[in-house]
Amino acid sequence: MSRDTLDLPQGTLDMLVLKALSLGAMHGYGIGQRIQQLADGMLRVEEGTLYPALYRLERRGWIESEWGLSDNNRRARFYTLTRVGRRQLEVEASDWARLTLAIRKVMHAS
Amino acid sequence: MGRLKPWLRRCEWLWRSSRIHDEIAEEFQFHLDQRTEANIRSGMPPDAARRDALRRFGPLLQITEQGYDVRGAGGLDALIADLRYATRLLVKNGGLTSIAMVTLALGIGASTAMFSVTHAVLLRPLPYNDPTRLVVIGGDMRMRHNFDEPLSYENYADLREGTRDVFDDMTAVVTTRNIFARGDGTPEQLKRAFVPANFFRLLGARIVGGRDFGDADGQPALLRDSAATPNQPQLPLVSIISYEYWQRRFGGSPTVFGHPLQYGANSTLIVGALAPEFELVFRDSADVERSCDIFTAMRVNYDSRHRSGFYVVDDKLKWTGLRAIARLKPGVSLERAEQSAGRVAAEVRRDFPVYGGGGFYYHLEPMHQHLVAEVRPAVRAFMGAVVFLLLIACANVANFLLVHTSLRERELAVRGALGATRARLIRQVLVEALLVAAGGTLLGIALASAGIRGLVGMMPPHVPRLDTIALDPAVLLFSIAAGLAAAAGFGIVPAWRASHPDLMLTLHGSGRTRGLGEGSLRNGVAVAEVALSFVLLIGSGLMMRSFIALQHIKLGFDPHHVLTFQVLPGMLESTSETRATRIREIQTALRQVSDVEQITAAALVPLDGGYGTIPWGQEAAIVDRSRYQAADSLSVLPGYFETMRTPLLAGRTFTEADNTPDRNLVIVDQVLAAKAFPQESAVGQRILISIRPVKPEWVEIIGVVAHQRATSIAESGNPQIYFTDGFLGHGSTSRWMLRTAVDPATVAPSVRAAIRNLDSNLLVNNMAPMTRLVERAQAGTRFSLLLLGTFATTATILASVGLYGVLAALVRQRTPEIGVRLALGALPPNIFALVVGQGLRLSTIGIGLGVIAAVGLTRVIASMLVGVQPTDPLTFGGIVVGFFIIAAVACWIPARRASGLDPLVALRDE
Repeated sequence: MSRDTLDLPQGTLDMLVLKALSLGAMHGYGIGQRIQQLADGMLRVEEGTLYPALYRLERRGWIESEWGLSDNNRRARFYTLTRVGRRQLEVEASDWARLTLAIRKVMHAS
Repeated sequence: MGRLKPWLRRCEWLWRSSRIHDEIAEEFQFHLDQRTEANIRSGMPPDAARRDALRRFGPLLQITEQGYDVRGAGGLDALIADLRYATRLLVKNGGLTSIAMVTLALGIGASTAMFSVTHAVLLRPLPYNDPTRLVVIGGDMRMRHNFDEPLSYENYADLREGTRDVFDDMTAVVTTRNIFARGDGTPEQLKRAFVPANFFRLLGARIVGGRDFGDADGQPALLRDSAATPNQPQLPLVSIISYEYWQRRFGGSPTVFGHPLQYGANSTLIVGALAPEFELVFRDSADVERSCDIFTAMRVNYDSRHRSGFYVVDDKLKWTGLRAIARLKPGVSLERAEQSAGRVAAEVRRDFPVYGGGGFYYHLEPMHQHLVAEVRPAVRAFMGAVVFLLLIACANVANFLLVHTSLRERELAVRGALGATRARLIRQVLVEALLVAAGGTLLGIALASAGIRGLVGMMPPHVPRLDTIALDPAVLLFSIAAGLAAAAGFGIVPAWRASHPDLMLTLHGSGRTRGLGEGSLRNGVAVAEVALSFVLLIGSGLMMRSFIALQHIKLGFDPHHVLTFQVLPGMLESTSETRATRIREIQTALRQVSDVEQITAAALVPLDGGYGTIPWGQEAAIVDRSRYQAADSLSVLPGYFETMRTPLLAGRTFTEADNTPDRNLVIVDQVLAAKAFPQESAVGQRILISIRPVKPEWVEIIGVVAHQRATSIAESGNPQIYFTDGFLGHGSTSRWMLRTAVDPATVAPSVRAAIRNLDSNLLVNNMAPMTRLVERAQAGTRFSLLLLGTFATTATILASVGLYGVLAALVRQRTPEIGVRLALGALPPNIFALVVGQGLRLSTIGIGLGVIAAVGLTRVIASMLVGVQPTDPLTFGGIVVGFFIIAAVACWIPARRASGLDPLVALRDE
């Protein structure tokens, strides 16, 4: 594993996927790209974990999918955030914020 | 149209499920194409761009490429998909799969074959009406240690009268053999039963021709004060014949009913024929012929006031030898019947000193239990062995599936991640288990049908209803149930593991990490296997010791080069002189046969059954009849001990001059001599015996011989007393024994010819070399040894395969750790010791448990053992050592592989 990209901490992928989809419907490949771009290329999402995450989120009812046409006019499966998913994103975002705040306090203690 | 609809719906399902699969494939394809394009744009060559895109998907793609419907639809199509997928996987894993199937087939085959035997012998109901209410009754003389002996007529009749409160009715049977004429006049020996007139009514036998006995058929033939001579019954004896004899002798013609059938000087009136296959099912030691050709109603004369009675058998009166069968009244327990019979026995003991002193009791036993009592321990032990084998087989297959599943844990985890539900994964693994089980079961049934034929061929002859053993529907059901139980049993654990919630851990990890449970689970299975097969090994070790002991028991005679056969007169010889002459004629005729060295005859042949006891005593018995003891008696011709090579220990043997009724001389065996005269020589002493009619008489002991194992090789049996044939009035010795210079079988034809030349009416029967009788007496032990030995060997092989499997898996799991150890300076011998140590630790626990279990369980086969205790320390010790060697060998290969690992390769393995 190269040093320029980071592995995602356990459990954060779901939140990132929800966040990516909160910006608009997107297909699997696009979601991966979108997260990478938003992280300035510091994060990389593996396909081997992305699709399981998508199917898991769909099963939980946080996202739903539908076939549509991609930018280059190909059939692709587009995922959208549901209302439940949006609420879930808020919960996870605030949890994450508190967690990072807590960790930063610990790490910056002197 | 109505019929078409479900079919259409099924097609739609199939189509829908394939659409789900296509959707995922299409989604992935889109992703792959996007990634490839992006890669190319960033400057990769197209080939590498595509490879990189595929690589990023990893195992996810492999699974969709295998054509597996990851998201899982329900219904039939999914099951078909499961089956197809499982088949492909198992075929790919051919070696392991076939080992698992063969293992299971062995277990199921053996258990099905044994279950067939058990079913035929122990479980199948008796062929009588409402058989659970039938009770067989004999008599015990507890003070003389005689149990379940036949009843005298008086004791039968009094019991029948005295127990009307508990039994619907009671009947009895005694069987014998008589010589009848065939259609062409030549003699033929028939098996014949004498029964009270109510016999067939009580058992519920079907009469297909003529009529059943009526009460009139059992009325006394001789009235007490009759002026007629007692040898001439005034009323004819009435008989019913078996269906088989009816067909064979009379072509099934109904005209035979109402006609007399002549035999010798007697005749009997045939009135009916039974339905086919009527049998008297008693255990072997009850001495009741199984399939009689002719059943004659006893004409009974009994006066309960004087307790004097007899039943008529031809021109003789008989008063003993009856087996009683009673039918319990509905709702009456055996205990209540025993109490009722106990009251009658108490009266008999009170009124008659011989019974009081002997400790007389009635012996009641449910008929089915009575039938199987002798073989029950053996069949139970074998069933136990089979269950053990089946368990070991299942344990091995469970191990196989555990390994098989753990190798694909990653794949299962991915499928779980892609949306396959837990139920779905469990079903998938179960389907695999089921496929293995189905294959194993099919193979097992084939094995079983071959095995049953083999078993029946090897079985000792005394097993009841041997001929009815077959692979029948009930047994088939059993094997299918066993197969399914096995599948469920060993499928459920891997299935549960596969559906374990922390799948994502596996997905992230290298696919080698183990849940904490699995190692200990697999170890547990291995320990159980070792323990189970150890118990089986102990069982077969004990049987082996018994068999060796049996070979070394001194028989008291030399069975080699001895031909035995029976010569029966065509007609009853009327006087003792003509009978004596007949015997001399036979002796002379046999002497002409070449290669015959010695000739003798006796009433019975050792190890061929029929021995009965007579009472013997000393002074004390005159006043106290309870002081009589039991001995087996045998009448012999002079030269018997010489021909049989029974060692003479003191005194002399019989001479021709002794062979008359008026010389009261006997020869006793060493057991009786030691009992009667512990301090002095028995030769010249007198004992009191009761064998000739009316009253006991004194006889002089002229010789002491070695004890013969005449009734059983395994048990020493009663003391023995020998008389001359003349002492009993000549003619009792019909069993001839010839010592030959060559193989006795080669002499047989000329012996037959010599007897035929003497008198064509003489019947030669039961011709066999003496060694065959010895082998037959050993057959039970030989059979047990063979069976338990086969089971134990199979079990041990399976257990060592299991042990090997566990250690091999252990080495594979711990390869990285072993690499670290080697890198840190451990030497190959240390690693070797590590693996072998682990194997031996498991074996030690298994053997420890096995020893405890064996001590508890070998009691089951105690009655089958000869000359060895169920907890024989030598057997236990030997097998413990032996098993450790086997275990060490099973550990060897994995340990060698582990110690031969290259540390660098091992480390990189992670």
